[in-house]
Amino acid sequence: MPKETFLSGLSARMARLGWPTRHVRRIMQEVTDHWNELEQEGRERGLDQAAASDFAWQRLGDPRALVDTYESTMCRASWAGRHPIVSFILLPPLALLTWFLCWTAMAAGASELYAKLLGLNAPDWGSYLTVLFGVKVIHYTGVFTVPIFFWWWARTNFRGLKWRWIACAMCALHGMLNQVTVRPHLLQWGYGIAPVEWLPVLAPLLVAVAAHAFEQPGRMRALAALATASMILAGCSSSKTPQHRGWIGGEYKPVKHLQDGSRGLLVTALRTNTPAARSGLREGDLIVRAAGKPVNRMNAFHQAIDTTQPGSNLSVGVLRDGTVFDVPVRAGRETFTPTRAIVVGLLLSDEWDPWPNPSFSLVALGYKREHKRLDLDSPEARFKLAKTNDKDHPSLRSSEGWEIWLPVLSFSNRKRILSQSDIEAEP
Amino acid sequence: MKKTNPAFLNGVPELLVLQLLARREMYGYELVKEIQARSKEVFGFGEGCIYPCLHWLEKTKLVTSRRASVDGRSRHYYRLTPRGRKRLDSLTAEWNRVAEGVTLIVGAQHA
Repeated sequence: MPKETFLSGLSARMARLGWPTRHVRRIMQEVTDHWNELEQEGRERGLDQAAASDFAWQRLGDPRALVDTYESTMCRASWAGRHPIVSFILLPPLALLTWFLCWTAMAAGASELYAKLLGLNAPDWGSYLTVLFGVKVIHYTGVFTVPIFFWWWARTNFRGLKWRWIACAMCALHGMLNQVTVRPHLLQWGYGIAPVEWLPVLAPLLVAVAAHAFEQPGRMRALAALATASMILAGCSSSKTPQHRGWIGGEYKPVKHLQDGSRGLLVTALRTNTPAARSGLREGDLIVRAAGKPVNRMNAFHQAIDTTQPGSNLSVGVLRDGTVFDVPVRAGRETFTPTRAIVVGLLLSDEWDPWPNPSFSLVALGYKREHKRLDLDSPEARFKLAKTNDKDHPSLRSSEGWEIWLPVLSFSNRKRILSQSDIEAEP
Repeated sequence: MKKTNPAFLNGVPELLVLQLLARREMYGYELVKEIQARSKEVFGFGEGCIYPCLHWLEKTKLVTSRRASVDGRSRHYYRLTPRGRKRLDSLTAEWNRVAEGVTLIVGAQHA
């Protein structure tokens, strides 16, 4: 067997098994040196070139058998390799259980502390904090999962082991699950999955898997580069087509209703030229339901408004002076464009907020989610708008949306409000 | 109850490599030649199998390696660490004990 055939066979087999490149390079260096020495020895024994090659091959052994020996030795070298059942079957559920118990215990402990110090309702706060701690951890792991996934993806990009890709897919799935939005409330448990948040994880994986099908490093590189570029372009592109949704105006704050412990939204500010004010809502009203469903968080209320067609009525249940009655609010129209961005650069924040709530900021890492909506004629919005240069087409970058930043990369998904208009009742 | 014997035949390549590296640092081919010469070519194994063994010993910190360029070739030289020397001592003692036992049985059958 010629030297090149032997060495390329050996190298290809190791690559197919998905061994780390550094390790493969080292073995190849040593085996090549060994082959050269053996060939030289063969020639010294009076063999011609072909016979010396055969001599080296016979002495070194069959490449397949060699790789099998390497594989079994390397498996034996790691603890996980020696105890596969313990490491891959028994330990993961145990670790998960421990994690869950730890956070539950911490949340329960915190709830007792709150009960003692502040006299708050213990079971209520216990459940609330359990969910909050859980969400916090999910967000932290989410922040780390995405870069780890990218690192893994880059590392496995030039190799072709089936199990590596399966591991990659699992990693991506984990990343996606971390993007699941849990509403941290006792009464309302829901999952909101936004495809845009999956994109950075999914796009390279899909194309890399497709590239793997070609089994050609050159094409794989090209396609992987294409995947990255498409991912960045997709992330940077924002829909230029204006979209519409219902708008009633006003500022609201979630509060607990004192009498029966239920929750609602307090109308804290309401300008007279908003649909809500025109329909009869007042500052100080407590909104308890919208479109027939109880409203205890901003999310639910916003969802009800968003699903109301501009011009149609939204039935809002209001508690005023001890009685609850329904007010039909004719929704106006809000025009906006979604803006999504991927920013590359050194991103640091002066905030330090490791407190367990869904948002957090640790200078170089952070996640923010804001539900606040602004009326374009509110003082805050007018102050922001005064700074925009385009006076003919003013648009307000709403604080509503999410933003995630890592030391060198940031992703955000917000909305740019173009206009808000009341639709007058038809005569 | 006594512990079962470790799979002593699995430890043989380790013992041979450590024993040879205890004298001086060597590279893979040199090590194989030395094993063949000293054992009068008793062991017939694919010579490439020496490398996983060496890498494993390096990973468990029983040997260290250094890279050198000789005649334009990249070559890795291995040498024993103090930890490797201890391991060699214990392996040698274990081997002597096992060999003694085997000799007693095999020798008794032939007697």
